[in-house]
Amino acid sequence: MRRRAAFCACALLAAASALVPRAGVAGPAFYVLVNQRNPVASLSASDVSRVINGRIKVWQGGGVILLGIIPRDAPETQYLASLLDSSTGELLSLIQQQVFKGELRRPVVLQSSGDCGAFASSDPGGICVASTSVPVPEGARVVAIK
Amino acid sequence: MGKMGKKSVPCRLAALAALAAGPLWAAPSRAQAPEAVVAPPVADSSASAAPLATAGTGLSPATPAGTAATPAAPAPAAPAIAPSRSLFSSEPFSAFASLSNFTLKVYGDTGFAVRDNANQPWQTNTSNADVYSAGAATTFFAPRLDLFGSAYVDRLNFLTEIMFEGSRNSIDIDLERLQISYLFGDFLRATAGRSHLAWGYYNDTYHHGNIFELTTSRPYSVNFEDSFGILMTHLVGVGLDGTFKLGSTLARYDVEVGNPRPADITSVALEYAEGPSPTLNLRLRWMPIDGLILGINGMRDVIPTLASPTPATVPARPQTEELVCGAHVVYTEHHALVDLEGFLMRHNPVDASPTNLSGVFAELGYTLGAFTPYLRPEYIRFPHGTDPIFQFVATDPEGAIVGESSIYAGVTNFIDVRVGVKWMAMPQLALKLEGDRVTRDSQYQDIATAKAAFGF
Repeated sequence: MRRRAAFCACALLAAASALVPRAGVAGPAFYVLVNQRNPVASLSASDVSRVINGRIKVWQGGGVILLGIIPRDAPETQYLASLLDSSTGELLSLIQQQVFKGELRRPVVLQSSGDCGAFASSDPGGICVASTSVPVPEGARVVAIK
Repeated sequence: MGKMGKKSVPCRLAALAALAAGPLWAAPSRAQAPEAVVAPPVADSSASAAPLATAGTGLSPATPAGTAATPAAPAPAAPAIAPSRSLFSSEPFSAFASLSNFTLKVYGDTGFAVRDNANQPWQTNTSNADVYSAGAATTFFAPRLDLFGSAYVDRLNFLTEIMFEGSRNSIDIDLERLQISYLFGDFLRATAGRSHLAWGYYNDTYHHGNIFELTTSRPYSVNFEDSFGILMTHLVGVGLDGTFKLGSTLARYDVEVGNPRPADITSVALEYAEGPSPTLNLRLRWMPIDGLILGINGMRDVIPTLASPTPATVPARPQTEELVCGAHVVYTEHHALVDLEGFLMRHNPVDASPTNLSGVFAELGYTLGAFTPYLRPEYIRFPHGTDPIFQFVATDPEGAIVGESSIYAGVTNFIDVRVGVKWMAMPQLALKLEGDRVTRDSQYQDIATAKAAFGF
């Protein structure tokens, strides 16, 4: 009887924790930026995974995809990794491996969200993640993540 | 606030994230960043650059999973960085930056192995430490240094791997990969040069940088030619590959034509073909969901006659047609790695009976933080008779070249089972600890290996 009561209590706690909205850690929001001339309207997390795995190499408009990334545990990189349900370490290892395979063009190394805007506006095939605290420069635009 | 003030925000976030991630993750300090990265703001940046939150896209800002969206207030005078490709060339993806876009990285490994060969009384190569001296049970090794170079211009890509590798306690130099490719589109990429054969998953996913592999060495069936691999590893020739959308799924093809294996199967025909029939290889893959690959392969090769150094007593090895088919099932998402591969091989020697061999291996790993425990069983079945290609003895023509018998000589059931853990201590360093049992019918050898694999 006591065992059953304990089980029910645990189940209730689990259900409650699932129903109560997570307070979460307030953090910066992010956008995925591409070149202004890139016709892609939106990307799914699956598309992002395909880009990083080198399975999609060219945008629909014809530009060769070039990833820009901050190669460390920066919030922007964490966000990109979260789209792939991976850690930043796994993401960076995956990127290096795909470059080593020849499936992914070597990414452009960024140092900040500001670099991302400049990169996306300068490279027709560029794609990167920027914090919303940084303005979108002319020549770049936001692409929705579905 | 000047530009240094703006730069400090992501810098602080990165530092906090690095602290939260613990000491395993090495975030480069700001002080190490090249000065060139800090570019002066464009004169009219404040006028032309709209804050993202009010950019008029109508899009909601995305947030990391599990966090609440709290768009930061737009910076009133955020500096826009002048577009310049040279701004972004820095480590770690670029070992050295130059205007030519060529980069060079270095991979290698070193380690220690101890074996118990009480139940395997012959001197043998293994895929780990390669060679043990007679009577030696322990060995240190530092047998590989891999220079990986790559460059691209527009749709043209180049990459190369130059290996300095140990062989009988001296160093050989080998051009492991030299390939140039042109990307016409996702549907077509043409590649020429020396590359890894598009076979299964393991063979062209992992190359000579051991840091990317889970285990301390490759499966025997896809080991390199000079390490008694069974399947053809390298191809010198040309190939086409491409990816198509099939509804919401992806399909990929690889078609390759190149030099056949040379008469000495432990080498690669990198300069000229020794036989008239080129190698043909086809691989088809279907990727129904993210991370899942279902693939099949077919290959035909004709291995030339290998003359005997002592024809009076030992006959030449006849020209042999090699037909191979294979299948692979791979899953690589959600921290898991599952790679299941199998092959069937048939040898048709001229004026001799055909032989069949087959093999299968499974590599299973699951990443928990920086650690990935793994298991890899492998089984290769050889014919009861002698396979003309792989089961040579020291007195055969191939044995005379190699200087010893094949590790598969006289064996029917060859089994390799290894269990270990890979620790990605840093993005540039993997530490591996592995236990391995190599079984040849009723005899076996146990090997424990500790390896540090690196890439800079």
